[in-house]
Amino acid sequence: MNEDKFVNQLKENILDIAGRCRNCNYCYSVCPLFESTRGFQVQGPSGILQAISYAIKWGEIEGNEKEILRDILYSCTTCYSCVLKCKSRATGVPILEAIEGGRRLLVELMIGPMPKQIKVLESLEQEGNPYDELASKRLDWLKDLRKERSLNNKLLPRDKAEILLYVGCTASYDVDLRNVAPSIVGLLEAIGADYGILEQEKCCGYPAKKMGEEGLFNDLAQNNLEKFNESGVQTILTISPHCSNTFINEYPEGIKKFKIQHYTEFFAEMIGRKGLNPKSRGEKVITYQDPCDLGKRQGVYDAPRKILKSLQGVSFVEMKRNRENSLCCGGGGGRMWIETEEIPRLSETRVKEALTLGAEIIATACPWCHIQLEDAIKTTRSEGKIKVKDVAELLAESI
Amino acid sequence: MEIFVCLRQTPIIKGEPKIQMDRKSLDLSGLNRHMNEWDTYALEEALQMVQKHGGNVTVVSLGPKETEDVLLHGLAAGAAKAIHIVTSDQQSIDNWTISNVLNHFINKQPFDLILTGVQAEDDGCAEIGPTLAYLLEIPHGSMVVRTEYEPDQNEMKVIRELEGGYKDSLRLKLPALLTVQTGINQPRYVSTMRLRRFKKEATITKLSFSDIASEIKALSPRVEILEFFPYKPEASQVQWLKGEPVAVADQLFERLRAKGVL
Amino acid sequence: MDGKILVVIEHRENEIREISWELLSGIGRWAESHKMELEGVLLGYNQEEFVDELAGSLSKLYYIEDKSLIVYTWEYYLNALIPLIKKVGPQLIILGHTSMGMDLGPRLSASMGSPYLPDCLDLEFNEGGLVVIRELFGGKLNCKVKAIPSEHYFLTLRSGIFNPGVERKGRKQVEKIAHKFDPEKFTTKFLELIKPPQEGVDISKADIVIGVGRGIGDKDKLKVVEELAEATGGALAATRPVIDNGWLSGERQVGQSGKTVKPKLYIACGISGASQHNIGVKKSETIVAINVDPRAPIYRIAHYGIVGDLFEIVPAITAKIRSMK
Repeated sequence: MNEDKFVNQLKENILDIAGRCRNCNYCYSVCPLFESTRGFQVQGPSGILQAISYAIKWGEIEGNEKEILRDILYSCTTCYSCVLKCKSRATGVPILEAIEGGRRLLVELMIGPMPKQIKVLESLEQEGNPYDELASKRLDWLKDLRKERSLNNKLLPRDKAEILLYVGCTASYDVDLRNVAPSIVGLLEAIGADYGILEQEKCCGYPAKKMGEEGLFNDLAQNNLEKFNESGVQTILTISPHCSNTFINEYPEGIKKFKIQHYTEFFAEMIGRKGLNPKSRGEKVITYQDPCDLGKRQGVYDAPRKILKSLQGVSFVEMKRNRENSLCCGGGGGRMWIETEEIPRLSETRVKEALTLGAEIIATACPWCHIQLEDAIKTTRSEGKIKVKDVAELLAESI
Repeated sequence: MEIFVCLRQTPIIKGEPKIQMDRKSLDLSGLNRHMNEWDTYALEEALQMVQKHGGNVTVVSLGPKETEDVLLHGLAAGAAKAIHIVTSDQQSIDNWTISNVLNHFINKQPFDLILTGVQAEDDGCAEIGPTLAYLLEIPHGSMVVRTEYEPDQNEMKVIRELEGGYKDSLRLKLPALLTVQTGINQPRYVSTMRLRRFKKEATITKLSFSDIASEIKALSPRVEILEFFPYKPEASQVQWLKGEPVAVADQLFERLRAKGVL
Repeated sequence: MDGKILVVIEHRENEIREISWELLSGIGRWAESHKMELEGVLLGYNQEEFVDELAGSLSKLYYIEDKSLIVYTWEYYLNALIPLIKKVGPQLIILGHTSMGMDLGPRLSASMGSPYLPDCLDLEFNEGGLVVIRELFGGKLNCKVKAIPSEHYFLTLRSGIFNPGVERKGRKQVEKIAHKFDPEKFTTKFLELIKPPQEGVDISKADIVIGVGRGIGDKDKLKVVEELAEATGGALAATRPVIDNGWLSGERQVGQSGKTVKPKLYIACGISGASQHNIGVKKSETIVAINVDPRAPIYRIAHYGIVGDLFEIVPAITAKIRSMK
């Protein structure tokens, strides 16, 4: 069966990548998992690489420890720190390609994904979102918003518009993020943008890709690309950096005709222009969590800072570990749906770091950072001491 | 081991099912369908057994064309053979008839074990397992949460789930039939790409339901659905507490205090 | 209508199970109104005291006694019941829709060439035949099902639809039946009854029970309901999916295959209320349900319904209770 050819190809790719690793261990110092599990869960990124490559070489993938291998491979948050470090200091091994390739291999061999991720994939396939929510309710947030205020949004692809606001699954459904999409819509209205929202938006496919379900990812990508084409837009704005990253770095060629921006990039350019003049919010000390997919993956560090610093009466402090050194919140790479091994959790570490700065607000620009940090505030019993706010919420509240 | 797994494809109903005007049929068009949840555990149990003890798994299902999907899933997950007993869309066939048709086909084959789920998501009858065992004249164990094959004695030891945390254990002579409870194992995930590959390359044996049914003497349904009707709450007693969480908590507390509960 | 109904009594660990009392009570009343005789059969060993307990609630009790009947197994029960049914000739044979009913019912009815109607919520039996009401799709829909005309009809009835308050009107008829089994020919051997672990918590004894369902999302998020349990002094219970995921231990499972609870207060957090769960809790004195979906079936049995995010509602309730202590 063609299955063997396919499996062998996957194995070869992984071995090829793993073979380039020089075991210099530079990547250890930047791996959030290595840090928080003190080397117990994984021996750094090169450790994960070695685990999967030896499993292949020794024919052990389907052996007695296949679940341990699976757990190791799926514990990576795909934060990209190791790839950047290896590029800057050593050989430039595409480590994540091998880790994600390993996940694809395990899924093909029916060992992966993680059990709790199965329902996520089923939900993606049936309802176009990973949260087991009805597709028919995806635009409820917009319907509710239209009851409160009049909006000029277009509905794509039946209308046409210049800008497509790609809301994403988390902003559409998650209760913690209920103000984010409305904030962005409010900002778009304030600058009089010609924007539209897809009537039948489906997941960008990031969870499927990260879990190793390439087939499902391809289906979702194809579906989205068709809708983007039909909408005749020029620019696609996303709320989640995972969505923009996926579009830019993982989607088929056809996506290249669109300008893809995370909303922070777009609005940073608009500050001071076109009705976007942030006023005073009152005295607030704000810090910022650089989302991995926005910063390390897309190099967007300044845009969100520009927005935050433009807020009047706000005192902006940097986290000790910021920009490329930002600590992952632990939510990416499919990790939202599996149990965490680390104690303390990455997100809890981040909250504590923010508290030591005297920050009252942690701003972020990623729905999963937002959720992870919200949860961590609760589990560290820091409610009342610090809040999470999305950059969009802060900007919208200030105009 | 030769294992047969009987699968059912059920519609995924989110929200309320649509009843036709005459109340005699359901509009299930446009709904996604999937393998009955209990049967996914039965399939996995069978696959793990042959992985451990050698042998083959054959998946069988009765249904219209769409049923191919669950059989394909079975093959892609590792079953050696798939049998589709094809029914026409309109038919609503009772469980007695299904059991007889399955029996008529299966009893001509050599087998050690038949696995199926405890019940189906659609009718929740939990009927076909023990009925099929009766027709095949083999022992059955239902609500099984653990299996242990004893090849030397050609027997199967099972642990069954009763109520309230109680379980019992039985030893059955093979061939036997087991109905399997959720949570007995972790069903493996079959990826989209794997399914597509199997769709191109695998073969499903097709049999005609009406042909088989007509071969069975004096087979006729034992029950008939007269009508469907939506759930009607009898004078719903629920009092809704509304407002912000703090206000709701206050209201709830008042009421529970007044009732002497808190 | 005339005729007989035969109820198969269930017992375990030296106790007649509640479902049997429910059936005797509810079917007893139904039988009276339909002018049918209610008879019952108890299969057991050294269970004379059961006989005394039961005899007053029936027109006649058959007691089949044999050492092998100390516990339930399908083969022994089948073997003993078939000749009894042939002898007694009841039109309706009724079991509870329990692990025993589901295991025995289909095989018993098939053995006697009769229609099988499982998990019924209501029944009507007259010259026109037997019609029952059943649920479909886990309670999203109901249907009326008619059985073909038959000498006997086998039904299992859902637990909790009748109240178990039976009138014991003194000892009526009892017929003890000796039945010879031929175990050499049997295919299924009973090995042991496995009791639930004793060290665990017994949620069925708690006055206040906090139920948690899939809505909690993850094991790490249990803290919010644990705190409510602590503040109320209640026991934490969970639905099957939570137990299956290993987030809480098995003895905390509430529902049809778990434990039935009847506390003064049951607070359901993030539980949708599938019938298998609702059966296990509907007799609680006061039921509070918290869910994001206003159409969740849990509200069918709740006294107080709150629609909202349990991660906001539950802490608010916990805080209120703590502040009022």
